[in-house]
Amino acid sequence: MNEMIIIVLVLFGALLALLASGVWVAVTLIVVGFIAIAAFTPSPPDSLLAITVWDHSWNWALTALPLFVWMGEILTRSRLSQDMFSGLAPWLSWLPGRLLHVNIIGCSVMAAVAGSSAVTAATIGRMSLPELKKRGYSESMSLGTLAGAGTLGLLIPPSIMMIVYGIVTQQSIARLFIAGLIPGLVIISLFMGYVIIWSLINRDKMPPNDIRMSFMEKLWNSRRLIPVIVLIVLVIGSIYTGFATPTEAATIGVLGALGLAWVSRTLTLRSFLDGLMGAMRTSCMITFIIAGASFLAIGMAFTGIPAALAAWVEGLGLSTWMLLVMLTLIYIVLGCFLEGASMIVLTASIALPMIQAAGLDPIWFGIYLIIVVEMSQITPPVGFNLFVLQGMSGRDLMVIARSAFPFFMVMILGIVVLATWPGLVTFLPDLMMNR
Amino acid sequence: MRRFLDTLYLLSGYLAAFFLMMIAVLVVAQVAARFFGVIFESTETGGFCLAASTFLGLAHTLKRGCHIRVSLFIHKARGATRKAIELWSTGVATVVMGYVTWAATHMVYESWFYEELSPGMMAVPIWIPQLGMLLGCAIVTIAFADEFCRIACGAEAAYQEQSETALSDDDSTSARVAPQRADGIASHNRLERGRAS
Amino acid sequence: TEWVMASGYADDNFHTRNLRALIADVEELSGGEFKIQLHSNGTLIKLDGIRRAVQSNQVQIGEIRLGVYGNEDPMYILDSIPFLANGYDRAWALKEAQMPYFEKMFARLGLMPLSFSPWTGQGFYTKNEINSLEDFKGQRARVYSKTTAKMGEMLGFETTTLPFSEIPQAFATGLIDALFTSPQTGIDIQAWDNTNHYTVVGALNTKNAVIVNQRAFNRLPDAHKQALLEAGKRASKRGWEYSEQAFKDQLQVLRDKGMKVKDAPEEVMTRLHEISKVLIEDWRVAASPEAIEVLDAYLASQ
Ligand code: NA
Ligand code: NA
Repeated sequence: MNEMIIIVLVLFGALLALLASGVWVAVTLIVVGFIAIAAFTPSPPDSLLAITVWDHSWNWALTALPLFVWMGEILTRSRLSQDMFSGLAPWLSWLPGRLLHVNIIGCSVMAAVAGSSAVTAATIGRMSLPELKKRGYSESMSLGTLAGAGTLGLLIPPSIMMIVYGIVTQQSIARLFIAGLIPGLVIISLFMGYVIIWSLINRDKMPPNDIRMSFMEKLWNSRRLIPVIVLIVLVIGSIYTGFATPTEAATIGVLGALGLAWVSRTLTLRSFLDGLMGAMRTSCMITFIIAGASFLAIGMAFTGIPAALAAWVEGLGLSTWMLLVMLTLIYIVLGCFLEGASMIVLTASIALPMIQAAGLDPIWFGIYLIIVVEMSQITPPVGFNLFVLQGMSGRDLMVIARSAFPFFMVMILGIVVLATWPGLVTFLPDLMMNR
Repeated sequence: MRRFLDTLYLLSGYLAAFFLMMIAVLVVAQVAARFFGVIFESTETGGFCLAASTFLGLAHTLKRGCHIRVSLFIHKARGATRKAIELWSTGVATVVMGYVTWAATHMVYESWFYEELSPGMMAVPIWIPQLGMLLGCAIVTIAFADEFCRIACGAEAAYQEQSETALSDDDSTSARVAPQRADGIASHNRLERGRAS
Repeated sequence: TEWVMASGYADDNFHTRNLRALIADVEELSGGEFKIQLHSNGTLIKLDGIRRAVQSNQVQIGEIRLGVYGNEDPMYILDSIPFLANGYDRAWALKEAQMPYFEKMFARLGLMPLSFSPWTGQGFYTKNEINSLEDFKGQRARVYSKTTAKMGEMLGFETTTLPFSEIPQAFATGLIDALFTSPQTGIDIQAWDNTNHYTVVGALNTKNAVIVNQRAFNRLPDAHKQALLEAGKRASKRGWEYSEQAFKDQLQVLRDKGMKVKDAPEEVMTRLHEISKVLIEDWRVAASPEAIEVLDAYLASQ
C-alpha cells in the first residue's frame, strides 16, 4: 500500500506541475502515462504508447463526436440556435433563472441523443454560450450549468458508459438504460432547483426581465422553435424507430442541420467550410486529449493502482453507508486522473462484489457509478467537460472548474437521494422488464 | 520556409476536415445500404477517418490556438518569465510529440512487416490508416518546434494570436451570423443585451 | 520468473477459469518459481489488442480470439464453417490437424501458441419461434464478416452489419431481430431482454488461443519452459471439457431467464449443411495450398 501511495503522489505531482506550467493537456497526459509505465512497471512504454493512442483514436463510438460538434457549428452559423433562444425566452420568463434552464433542458434533450458527455456539452455549449452572453447572463452560471448538465449524456440513455458497465459486469444493458431515466430526472430537477435558488439570491446578477407578451404572442413567437424541434424529432426518431444507431444518428443531425440552414438561406459555401473547419478543430482538440487520457489510463492499469485501492477498501470491512462514502471518495480521486470508461473498466469488477456483499443491487451500483463518472467529468485537472468548455469559451480550466463546482455538489446530493431511496433506480426496470 | 510551413499546416488541416466529412459520407452510405438491403460496413473506415481527422488536424488546431492548456499562471507572467514558460511548454511538447512520432513509426513499420489486416469486412492493411497518425504526429512535432524557434527568436507564439471562441470579447460570433431582423424578439434581444453590458 | 497475462473475458467466463487453472498448473509444475499475473476482463489490454500486446512483449502471454484475424489468413476461421467439425471430438481432431500450421504461422509473428479452447456451439437468438426456414424471412440479423453475411443471406435473413457494442440497443430499437452466436455471448449481452427464443444449432466451435511471446519464452530456464508447455497441454484438454460443460450450463441459464431453448428444425439443419459446402468451397478459394492441405488431411481423417 505504501508503494501505491508513493506512485499516486508522484503521478499526481507530475500532472499538476506540468499542467500549471502551461504544458498542453493532451501532452501532459502522455507524459504522466509515460512516467507511470517507465518508472513503475517493466513494460516497454514506446510500443504501448503508439498502440494505445492508435486503438483509442479510431473507436467507432467516438465518430459521433465530430459529427454532433459539426451539427452544432452549422446551427450556430445559421440563425437556428439564435431562433431557438428567442422562441424559448418568453416561455421561461416567469421561471427564476430563465434561459439558464435552456442549458439544462437542452443538455437533457441532447443526452437522449448522444451517449457521451463531451458531445452533449459541446453541442449545446456551442449554441448557447454566445446567446446567453449576448443576453447578459452570468458567465459562471452559463458555464456551470453546461458543465453540469452536459454530464447527463452519460446517465440518460443511450449511454456509452452504461454499455461499458453492462459488459464488464454482465448486467443487463437494457435494464441499465431504463434505470437511468428516473435518476436522470432527479438530477435534472436538482440542477434546475439550484439554478432557481441561485437566481433568487443573486437577482442583481441576472439580466433584466422585460418580456411582456400575451399567450398568443408567445405562441406566434414559438414558430421560431419549429426548425429545431423538427431536427430533434428527426434525430431522436431515427434512433428509437430503429432506422439508425445512435452513432449514425449524428449524421442525420448533420444532414438535418444542413437542410435547415439551406431552407433558412443561411447556408453558403463559406459558412459550410467555416463550420466544417471549426468542427474539425474542436473535435481534434477533444480527441487528442482522449488519446492522451487513454495512455494515462493504461499506465494506471499497469501500475495496478485502481485495483489496489479497491482491494484496500474491501479489506476495511465497512458498513454499507461507510462503504459508499469511501468508494465515492476514491472515485472522486480517481476521477481527477481518469476518463470515464477507464474508471469503470478498472474498478467495476472489483467493486461490484463488495457492493453485492453489502446487499446493494448491481443495477443500482451501475447508476451510482455512472453518476460518479459524471462527476469526474467536471473535476480538474482531467475533466472532459471542463476541456470542452475551455475550448468553447476560452476561459481557463480552473475558472470553469470553479463555475462547475456547485453542480458537482448537487450531484453528490443526487447520490445521497438515490442511496436513501434506492427504489428510484430499481422501480422502473422492475416494472418494465418483469421476468 | 515560413510560407512552406504555414501551407503545410493549413493543407493538413483541410485534409483533416475532409476526413471529418468522409465520416458523414460513409455513415450515410451505411444507412442507405441497410435501407436497400445491401451490405456496406463503415464502422471501421469511419473510425479510420476519425483517426486521420484527429491527427492531421493537430498542427492547424495548434496554430489556431484551439488546443487547451491551463493558462491561469501564464497570463499572469510577463517578459522573461513568460518567454521561459512558453519555451518550456513548447519544448516539452516538441520532445513528447517527437517521441510519439518515433513510436508511431515503429508501430506502422510492424503493422506493415506483419501484414496486419483490419478485422472488419473491408480487410484494410492497418498500416495505411496508421500512416495518418504518423503523418499528423510528425507535422505537429514540426509545428511545436516551429513555435519554439519563433518564441526563442522573440516573436509572439502563433497559437495566442488567433484564438477564437464563443465568449471572445469582440463578439465575433454575432457578427458571423446572418443580420438580425428588426422585428419583435430580435430588437428586444438587442435591448436586453444593451442594458446588460 | 514473473509474467503478465492479459485476457478480455469476465472472471466467471469458462475461458477465464481455464486461464486461472493454467496459471495454477504453471506455478505448481515450476515449484512455485514461475508466477503469472492475470489481468482479465480487458482491464489491462482490450481483447482485440492482446495479440499485438504479446507480440511487442507488453505482456508475455495472453488469450486471443482466432476468428478476429480471419482477414489475414483463412486458417483463423476454418473452424467457423458450420458442420465442418461439429461436436467436441471432431473439433479436437480439427485442432490437431491445424496445430502444425498454427505453430508456423504464429512463429512468423514472433508468437507461440500454447493452448486452445473452443467456444460452445452456436444458435439463433430470435424474437419468434423458429419452426422452419420460412421464419427467418424478413428478419434482420446482425453479421460481422463475409462468412456470416453469406450464411445469413443463404438462410433467408436480411443482414446488417453492426459493431458488437451496439447490439443491445439495436435489439431494443428493432434495428435487428436475430443474432447467430453462442449462449455465452447471449448471456454477456443479456439476450433475454430482447429475444425470447434460442434455437440451438451447435455445428461449429470457434476457438480461442493462448499465445506466448517467443523471445520471452526463449529466455525462460528449461524447467519453466517444460512447466509452461505441460500446463498448456492440460489447458487445452480442460478447455474442451469446460466448454462442453459450459454449453449445458449456459443453455440452462437461458432457460432460467425465461427463454425457450430448443433444437433447430430439420429444415434449418439441412440448409446449413448446404451452406457448409458452399463455405468450404469459398474457403478453398481464399486459402493457400498449405492451408488447403490441412483441410484435406482433416477431411480424410474423418
Ligand atoms: Na445519453
Ligand atoms: Na476529473
